[in-house]
Amino acid sequence: MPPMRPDNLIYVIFIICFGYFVILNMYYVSLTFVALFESRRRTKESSTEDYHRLTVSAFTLPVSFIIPAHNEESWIGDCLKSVLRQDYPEFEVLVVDDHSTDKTFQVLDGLLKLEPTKKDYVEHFVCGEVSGIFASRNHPHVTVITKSSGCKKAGAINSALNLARYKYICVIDADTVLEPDALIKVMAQVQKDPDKIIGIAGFFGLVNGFRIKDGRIIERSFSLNPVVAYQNIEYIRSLAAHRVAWSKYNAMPNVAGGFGIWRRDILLELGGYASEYSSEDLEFTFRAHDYIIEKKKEGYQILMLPYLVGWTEGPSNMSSFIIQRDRWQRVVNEAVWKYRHMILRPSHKTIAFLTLPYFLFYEVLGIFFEVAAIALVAWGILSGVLDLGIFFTYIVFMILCNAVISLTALFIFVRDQAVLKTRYVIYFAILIFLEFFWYRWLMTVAKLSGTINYCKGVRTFDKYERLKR
Amino acid sequence: MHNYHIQFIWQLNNLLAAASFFMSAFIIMYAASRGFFAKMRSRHLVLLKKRLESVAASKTLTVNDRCRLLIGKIDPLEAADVISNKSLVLPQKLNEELKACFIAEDKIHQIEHIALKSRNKWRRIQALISLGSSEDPSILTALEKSLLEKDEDISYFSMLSLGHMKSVPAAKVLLDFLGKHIYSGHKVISLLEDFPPSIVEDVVNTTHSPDPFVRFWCVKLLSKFRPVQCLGRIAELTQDTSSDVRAAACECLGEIGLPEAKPALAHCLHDGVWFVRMHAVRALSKVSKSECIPLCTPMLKDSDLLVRESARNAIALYAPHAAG
Repeated sequence: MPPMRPDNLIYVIFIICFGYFVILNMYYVSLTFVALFESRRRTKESSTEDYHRLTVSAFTLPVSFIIPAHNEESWIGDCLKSVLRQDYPEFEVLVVDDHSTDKTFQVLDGLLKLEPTKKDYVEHFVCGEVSGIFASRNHPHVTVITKSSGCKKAGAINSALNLARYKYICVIDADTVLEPDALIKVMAQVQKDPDKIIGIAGFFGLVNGFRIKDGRIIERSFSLNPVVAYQNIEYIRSLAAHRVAWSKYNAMPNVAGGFGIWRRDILLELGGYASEYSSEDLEFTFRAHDYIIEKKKEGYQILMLPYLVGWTEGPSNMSSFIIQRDRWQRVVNEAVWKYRHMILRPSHKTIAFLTLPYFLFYEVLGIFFEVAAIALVAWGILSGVLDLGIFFTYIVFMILCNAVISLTALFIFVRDQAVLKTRYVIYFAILIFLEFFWYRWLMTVAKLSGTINYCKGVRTFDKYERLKR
Repeated sequence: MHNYHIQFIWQLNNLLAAASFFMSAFIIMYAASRGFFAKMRSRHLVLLKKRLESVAASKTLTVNDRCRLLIGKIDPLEAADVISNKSLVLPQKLNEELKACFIAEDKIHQIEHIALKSRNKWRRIQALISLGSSEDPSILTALEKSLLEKDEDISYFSMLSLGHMKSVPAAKVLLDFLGKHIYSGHKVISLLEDFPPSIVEDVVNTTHSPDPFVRFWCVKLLSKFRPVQCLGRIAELTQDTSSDVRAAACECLGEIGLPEAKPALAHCLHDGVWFVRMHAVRALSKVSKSECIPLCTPMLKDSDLLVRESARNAIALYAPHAAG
């Protein structure tokens, strides 16, 4: 067989990469199209719901909040105050000070007037060493657990699960500030069918740039820093469009750690969160799908609602961004590898056919296509085989495809959540057209770094440095 | 490279460029105009409220004229919104008068028509909610019909609407609906808890249902009403075949708090299911106060941790030193 000519080889690689790009974009278009209607339906449903009745009913399901905090002195106060301000009839709050070396505990003590308490602590879930349990003198429904070592964020959540009393568990990050109606809006859905709904999530954006006082958002001034603004666009695309669409077909891949609710019996049966992964939320959601389907429990649901539940801090510079996304990439690789048996398995229905193949081909293997495409272009330019006119044509095609999809997601968000002022909408729309020239590259670097670290066996929960407030 | 693809891609690019620029412009205009329309709407509602209040305050007009003037100022769907206090919160007296006018002038049937026939689902739902808020008994059949529709949103909001009616016939419909297992017991019962105590008789009758799910939720609802007259029936339910119902019955007897419940509760202390025993212990501490100590003391040696804890708490209430 004669050897393949260089221009033929380039053509084959080009066809593979271009085919990959077209399939991926068609998939995105389909998801966004579904979200266009599903998000509308959910928003209408929410605006018609009678929340007042739920806030006064004795039959509203009580919820245990869990807030794991590691060196969160600058956010924990606002986070806790926003939780205590929830318009909800019955809930408890369990804050875990996870081996903090800053003033997290002092901030909590100042707010809650803590005193040691003797609660019956039974270790149902593996969580590392608990050094103390404190009750609040001014908020009897708040408990603080201090940990002296081990098991990362998953262990911190597990230690609180050991004390949680209620049927539904809401896990939020310590840098998240909740909207006052966050819990009631989400639990109104659960209340419709608590036997079916085992997990539920809501939309949250980035808090960077906002003015906050005592856990209350005074002004939603979105940060114009491009690192933050692009993340906001990405959250809109991912949470308000893709996940809402996946949720319609019960193929939700991730109840995010920023704000997620799980039914306690599922957490118990699954042994809580697993600490051997770089992050806990994605793996747990896959595990829950797998477990329920294997157990042949019919009609379960893991939902994503487009309602705005809160705001969380995101990285505001490139190095922090890469640290965060490196970890996200690792956990995607870890979870997809662990649950690879679910891919295209008929018994696992939509999660097996709609979500996991996407995770495998885009989230895990995507970086190889991207690197191949970059190498191809570099080789083509150096060897003089690549026609720059053709190259430019395809680049424009890619940018415009991405723009149409992102703009549709932005429209869904603007239509259903009245939080973006016109000037931010203009700014986001401009950024969408420029995404390819900078943010995409940043993502590729982060993904590559995450993939290399995954192969090296790195499983740490790396936290980027918080901004001083 | 194969140049024949390029022209096609350029054509696609032109199409995509036009689409993306049009979309950008549309989104920006949408975001800008939404604030303007929201302001206009709120201004309109404030004016409407003022006009309605001035008509209602008029002493020169007869009741019929006032009705005609009140209704003449708003179209049926807007009225639907006003009646349900959704977008415009009127003083309660004025709201009541408006509802009465709608029923008297037979305008409620215009809303009923929208609720049953409109092709826009969310208009239908808006009208359905208003029907419930009107509390007019004549629209019960319409709500009952839409309750069983296949569209889950229509069915759900018809159920909420029935919850607004707070009448015995509406309660009957909801109790029947409970047995269909379409929505959770939590949801249906949370709608009934605000109903007047006159529904208790129907709730008690429904506890004879062969479905343990229905019996359980009826007993849970009875705990809210604490009907002393139904003590006998609730005590009977402590012998139910379903352990959930037995536990709920114990809880309900505890809520009623009458010492007559003591024998039934004492019997439940020997139940084979741990949570029935736990609820029996808790209820006993409420109904027989310090007399519960001799009954609860053996429960300190129960095989279940939560039963032991409940017994310890019960004893600690009346004899702290004896709780151990």
